Amino acid sequence: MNEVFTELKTRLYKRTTRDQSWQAFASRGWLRTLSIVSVVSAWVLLGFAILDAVLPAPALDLDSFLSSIRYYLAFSWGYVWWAAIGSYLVLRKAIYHIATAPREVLDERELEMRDSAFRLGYLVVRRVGLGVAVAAFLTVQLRLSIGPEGKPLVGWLASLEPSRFISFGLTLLLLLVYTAYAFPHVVIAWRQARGRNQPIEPETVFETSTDWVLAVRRITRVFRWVMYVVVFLMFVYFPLEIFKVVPKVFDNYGLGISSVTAGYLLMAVYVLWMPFALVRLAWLFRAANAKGFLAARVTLNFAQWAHLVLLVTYPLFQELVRQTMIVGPLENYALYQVGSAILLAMAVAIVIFPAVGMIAATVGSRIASSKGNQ
Amino acid sequence: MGRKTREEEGIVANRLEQFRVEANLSRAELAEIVGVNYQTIGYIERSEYSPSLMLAFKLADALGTTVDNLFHINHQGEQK
Repeated sequence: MNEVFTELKTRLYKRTTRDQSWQAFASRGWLRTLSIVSVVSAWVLLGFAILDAVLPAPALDLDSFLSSIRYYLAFSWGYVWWAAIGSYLVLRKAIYHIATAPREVLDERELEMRDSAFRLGYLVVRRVGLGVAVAAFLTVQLRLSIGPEGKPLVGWLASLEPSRFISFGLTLLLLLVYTAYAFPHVVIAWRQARGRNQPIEPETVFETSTDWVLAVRRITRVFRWVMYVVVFLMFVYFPLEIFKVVPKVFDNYGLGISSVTAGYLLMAVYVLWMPFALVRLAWLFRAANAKGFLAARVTLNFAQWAHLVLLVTYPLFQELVRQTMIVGPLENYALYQVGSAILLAMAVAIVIFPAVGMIAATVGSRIASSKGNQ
Repeated sequence: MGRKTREEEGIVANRLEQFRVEANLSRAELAEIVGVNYQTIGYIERSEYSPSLMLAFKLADALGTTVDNLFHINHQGEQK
């Protein structure tokens, strides 16, 4: 089993070092930005978790100040996790998997840097952990002796929802795991940035139709499997729902819950992945001889802009269609039917365009990778 | 009298870039020959990393020179 992981890590390392587009993130500015985002987002998540545990339970009064704060916390939570995970994933690539690659593929400087980063990471996490543990212990001791608002601790604990404590504990655990994974990467990235890391300018060449065919075939196995799952959910499960082989749990303009889930899954991958893909492609286009990639660039630009426009216009158009039925249900029924059909087409396009964009960007980077390897 | 700090001991300076350019090799090509990441060559050239003896010998061998021609200790205050 260990050999399998070693082999996988070796492949990942070699693929990343071959793919010139990841050098876009190897500059000092990017390494520092990603490191800062990773650390700050982890602290913000800890702050959110503490606020969530400390703030009183949401009241039924939705207009209250506390409810507003809770609403914004819940709204921002996902974005901060996105920033934390996104920055970590890109950091991994930006430092060429030095933190996780097998020893055999690293040179002596990289090994020295990794060992030192893990040592420093361990020391920092140990001290921060000690600080948090001491602070938590003192808080509990203080509450035991004084108690908030004159209540004894047991009563105070009983007044809080158990689910919030579970959520708090789980967030702490997740943050601990995140820190253990991300912090060595942050240390390595910061040191590389300090050492005036110099990315090699990309060497790109013309794209040809053969390149596209080959590049599509080379789309990474993981990405291909994500696509298989999405396609399965959308096009295989969907008929099963229609013929009532499986229960149809939810309906949204004719789309079953499986299709909606698949759409969200694809969008999540897209939203996490696309900004970084754009930076990588922009980097490739900077090359002195980057006269190619026109098809990849045009497709990607079209997909992302069309997706954005559709995302913005969909709710507006949806409201317009709804109004037709409110204004005159009988006389506007035909209009409503047409509007619903357009809405369905828009929903399908919203799901498909990210996939188109991802394929275009992947093709671009794969072509670069294959050329860089020659 | 304690041990000297790294700064007090001086840094290992080198003429790697000069020899590499004379040999008409890019950083990536030299890195390939000696089996390190291309960035490591940049770090050594900028004296931000002191290579091991093994790597120093490999570099000297790849550039057709000797280790003492390639590397020397640059004490604090000295010109490179």
